[in-house]
Amino acid sequence: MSEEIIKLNIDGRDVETQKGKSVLEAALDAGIYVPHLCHHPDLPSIGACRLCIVEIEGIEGLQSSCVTPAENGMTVSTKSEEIDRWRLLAMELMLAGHPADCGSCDKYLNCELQSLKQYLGCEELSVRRRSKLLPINNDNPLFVHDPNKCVACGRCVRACGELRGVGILYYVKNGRETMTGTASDLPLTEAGCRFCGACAEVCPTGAIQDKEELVKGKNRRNALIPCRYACPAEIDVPRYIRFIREKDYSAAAAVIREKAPFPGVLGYVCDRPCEEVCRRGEVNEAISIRELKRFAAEHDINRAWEDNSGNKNSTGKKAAIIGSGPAGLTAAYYLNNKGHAVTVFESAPFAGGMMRAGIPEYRLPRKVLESEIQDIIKKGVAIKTDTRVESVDALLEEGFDAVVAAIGTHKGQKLNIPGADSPGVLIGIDFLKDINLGNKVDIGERIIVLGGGNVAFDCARAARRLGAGEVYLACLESREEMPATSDEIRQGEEEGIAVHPARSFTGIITENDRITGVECTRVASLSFDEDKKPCIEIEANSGHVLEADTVIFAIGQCPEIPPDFGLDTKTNNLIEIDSFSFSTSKEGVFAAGDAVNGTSSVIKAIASGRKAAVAADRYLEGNGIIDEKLAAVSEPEKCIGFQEGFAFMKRCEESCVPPEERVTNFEKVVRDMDEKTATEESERCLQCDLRLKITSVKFWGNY
Amino acid sequence: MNLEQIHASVKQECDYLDDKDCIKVRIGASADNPVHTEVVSRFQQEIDKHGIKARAIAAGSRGLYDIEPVTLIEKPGKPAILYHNNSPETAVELVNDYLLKDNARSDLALCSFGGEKLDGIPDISGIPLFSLQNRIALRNCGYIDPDNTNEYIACGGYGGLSRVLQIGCEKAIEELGKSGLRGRGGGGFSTAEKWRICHDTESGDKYVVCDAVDADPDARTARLLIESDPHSVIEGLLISAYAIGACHGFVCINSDYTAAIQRLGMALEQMRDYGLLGDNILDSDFNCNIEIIEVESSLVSGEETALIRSLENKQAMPYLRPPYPAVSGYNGNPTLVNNAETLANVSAIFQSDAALSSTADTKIITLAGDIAHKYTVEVPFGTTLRSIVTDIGGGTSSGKDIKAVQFGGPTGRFLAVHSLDIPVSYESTNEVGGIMGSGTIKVFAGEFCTVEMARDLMNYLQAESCGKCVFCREGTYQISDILNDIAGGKGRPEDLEMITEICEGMKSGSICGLGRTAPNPVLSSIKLFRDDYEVHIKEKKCPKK
Repeated sequence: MSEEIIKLNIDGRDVETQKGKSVLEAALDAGIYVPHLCHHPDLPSIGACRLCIVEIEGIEGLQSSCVTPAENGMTVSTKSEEIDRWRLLAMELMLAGHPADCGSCDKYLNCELQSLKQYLGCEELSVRRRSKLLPINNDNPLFVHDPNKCVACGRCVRACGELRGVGILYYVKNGRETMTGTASDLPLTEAGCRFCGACAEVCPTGAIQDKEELVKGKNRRNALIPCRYACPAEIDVPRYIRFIREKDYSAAAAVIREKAPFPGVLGYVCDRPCEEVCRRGEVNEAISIRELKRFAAEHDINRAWEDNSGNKNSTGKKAAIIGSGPAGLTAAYYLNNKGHAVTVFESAPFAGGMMRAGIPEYRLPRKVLESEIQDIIKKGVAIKTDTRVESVDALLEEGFDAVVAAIGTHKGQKLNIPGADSPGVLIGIDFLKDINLGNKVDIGERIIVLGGGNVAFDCARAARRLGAGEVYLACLESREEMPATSDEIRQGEEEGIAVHPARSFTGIITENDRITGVECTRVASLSFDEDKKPCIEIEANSGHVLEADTVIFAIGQCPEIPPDFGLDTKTNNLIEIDSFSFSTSKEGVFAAGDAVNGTSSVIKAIASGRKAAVAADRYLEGNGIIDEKLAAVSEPEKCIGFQEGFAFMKRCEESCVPPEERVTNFEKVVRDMDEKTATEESERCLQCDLRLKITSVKFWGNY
Repeated sequence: MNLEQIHASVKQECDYLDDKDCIKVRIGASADNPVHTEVVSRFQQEIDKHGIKARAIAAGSRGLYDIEPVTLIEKPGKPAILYHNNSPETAVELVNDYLLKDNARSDLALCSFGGEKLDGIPDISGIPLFSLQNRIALRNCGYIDPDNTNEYIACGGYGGLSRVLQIGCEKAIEELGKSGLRGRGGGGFSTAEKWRICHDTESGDKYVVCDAVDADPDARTARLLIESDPHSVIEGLLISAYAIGACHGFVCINSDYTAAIQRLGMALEQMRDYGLLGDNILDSDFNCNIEIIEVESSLVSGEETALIRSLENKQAMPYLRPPYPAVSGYNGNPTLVNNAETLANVSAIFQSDAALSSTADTKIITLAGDIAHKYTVEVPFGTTLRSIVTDIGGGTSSGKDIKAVQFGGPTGRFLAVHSLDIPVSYESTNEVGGIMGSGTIKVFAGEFCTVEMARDLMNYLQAESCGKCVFCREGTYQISDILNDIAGGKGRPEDLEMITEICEGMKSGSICGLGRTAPNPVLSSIKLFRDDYEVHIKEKKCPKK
């Protein structure tokens, strides 16, 4: 766009615009509404709909203002009897084949055509109406094409071709009707569609829309970029995947760190709620987001984030964090970033919380965790290990201005069944802690782990590595309902762990003070009440015994709260907080993580730690803004180009060390992807965030 | 090679051309004529059998399809004689009767020219089919062997290019301007003006395009020219390239014109051998390469902007001008698009002596519909439609009375049988609100439902509409439906007004010529046969049934 200013007169108003802009653009920019349909601010104009016609003094006939360059001294009229006559006829001609019932369409009240119809006062048509009777195409992933609603404005063709550089949409004819579609009516996947959604975004009618079930009832941004919003910490997934594709791994890691100080840890252990909702999954398979995250973290040589993070002047306030797990350290990191003096109190001899004590090394290599904890310490956070906090008041009296209690759920639970206190019965969480501390652990030959979550599998797989001959896992839930993540279950079974789902446990049998087995019954159905207590219906006459000499309970955990801690708790010993202010029952004391929400995931703990940091910062008279820019902000490339076979690119294989090799040690199980695989995987991303960069069209009422 | 050297080579290769004693037998027909090849070989066989100093030459079509093969026998000392409807049998007979002996076989002859009159054979000046024509673009069609570049050169071929290379581009454009040549693709824009605009646009890469696509399904202009005299068009294309400073050319041709495409390919090959293509053409510093592009023919492919889009491998759909292709066309570069007929005229203009100021004042016309002879001819401006239909076309083939004549192609106006005295010219067609278009004259005869005729035509136009702009796409659809209702007795009183309203919208609101001229047939049909329409609407029946 040139710098030269053009002055013209539109409807009696003097208007200025830049040279190169059209008369329509000049009018719209000046707030003068001129009806238009085929024009879109992000696309080249074609002058096809004839709604934007105007009269220009000195030029004969009516000009389509979208393709008429604005010139100095032009006198333009956007309304006249003649203009209205042809505008109305053009509108009627488009409505002739368009379904008359607006109310039943998902685009109702959000439709440009409907809005134009209203504006032009076009109710009774003088032209002949018809029903196109064309089949609606529901067979593609993500999008529905209803050619009956298409008015052939051509925006989707231009968006696909000229904006995105993909070009798989054309004007096509079906019998006598013209509409847009793929060459030879191929399914989108075969035609080379990249599912970027630009066509749906620019479509002014209900012809191309997102599939209802994917967007109904949801906030638009959440529905269209689900990975970002499914992440509890709202990590900008599309943005870091884009950096990986551009081979700027440092920037990718920086993007992750904008929301979470544990990119490597998450790259190993995150339960990836983002992948469940990834829109690529509707096309073929979800993007391997966690693998890419790990790749970026491990290739962050330049550490571009470091100099950009924090660096605020000291506020003179002191904050105490109780617990150095993911929630605590995240809260600590962000509060430190805001300039407060932060001290973290950790009762264990090492920092890391459940990441260090609970998650076995084969899932999360120690050096990855330690390096990321070091990064936090480097930024100025002080961590005092082997220091147990008995009371919150004591901290406040010590001079801390705010406290965040992030004590996790380190107390493992046992079932209250006969034999639960026998020797040889272990509490899962303590078992794992002992292993992680390097303590000697005594287990038998036949281990049974009771529980169906990740902790249970951690116990089972750790037991395997300690040399147990047979390891079983039995749980209340059915196979489909087991809370453990699918890769845990799969890897566990590969390592020889037999899974017995849908069992209820009635007693532990001992003989001469040694465990011989667990009495079980089969569960017919399982549900949970409002207090999350299980309601079990057992199968009659299904009692049996699972033989074992060691029983490990991994059925749940709750926070271990010191008697004088001083905070109100609710069921299961969880610390009670106000959901808006994140404050506990004590002023100036906040809580975060598993201690508040119950045993959950690392990413949820991190997200919770962030919220606590926001609340605490506000309390400490900060502005509560902990968001930072760690990577360069740039406009992503709009032109993504045609990629042969895009929809069929398979998800990268997540390879692991073979089970026979890995059960003998605690070395890491996952194999890392190489650069080529990372690039290919990142190229599979649909780049859903591009869609929201397309300029929104203003309806006439907004002018 | 320069032109002199080329001529020397031609003399060597085709000594028969200069040989005054050699009888030339030129058998002309279009590539799809079933007997052409056989007739040619029979002639040659018979000639060889008798050891006659003669040569049978396979020429292209003259445009006289129903009477082809048409054979021209040039016997030294005798006037040239044109024979029609030759078969292998008559070939043998003619060799024995006329070549060996002196029986000119007036029973097989059409006419003679260039000498004293022969018994029983009319002089060409007495045959309206020929006397009404002035063949400039079609000058060599049916005469020369299109597969032999030497024949074209011997007829003055590439002399035009040679002269242009000597006088330079500015003078060439000036001379073209003086000729008054207007684009024959239907637009009628001053060709020299278009060349000037393109010449004046500063740019690195310029392109020239020959539009040899018969978009009108009844037209055979491009096919005739490329099949029978491809060089006349290519020479014109090269001249246009030199004039504007381009070194790439495209010839766009219907993909189903297989024979023409083959001929074109061969012609380009032979040109390369003569240094008439590629670098340093005719030993000058003019470089140019030409590519053949096969285009799927449709009515809209006749629009130059649609043609450019298909060159760019995009959908063949027109776009709004400005920017004009001469300024910004193929991939944004200045692109000069000229119709094949225009280029055949260009080569003629520059081949003729500079001293004679030639004015380009002829038009190729194809006859179609209910007409006895569906010829393609070239007539001077001023020739009336009536004389073409009656004297060249021979009246209707069905013998029924002419009801209406459509001129210019599927979007041309209908003219009543009493209005056929209008002359062929840009001015007169504009006056009656019609178009020159493809120059096709289509005859509708007998008693048929005029509403159905208009409806069928509009259905065709609706199918051919590319669908981009509202008025053409929806307008043709609506009018089709309205006409269908009227034809079926379901017309409403306000329908004619609605049709007129939509037509006006199409004329002012369409992006391209197809949409702008699509109203012509229905509007002219209503004007001519208004009573028919009113009977359909008021009495709900067809007056003809």
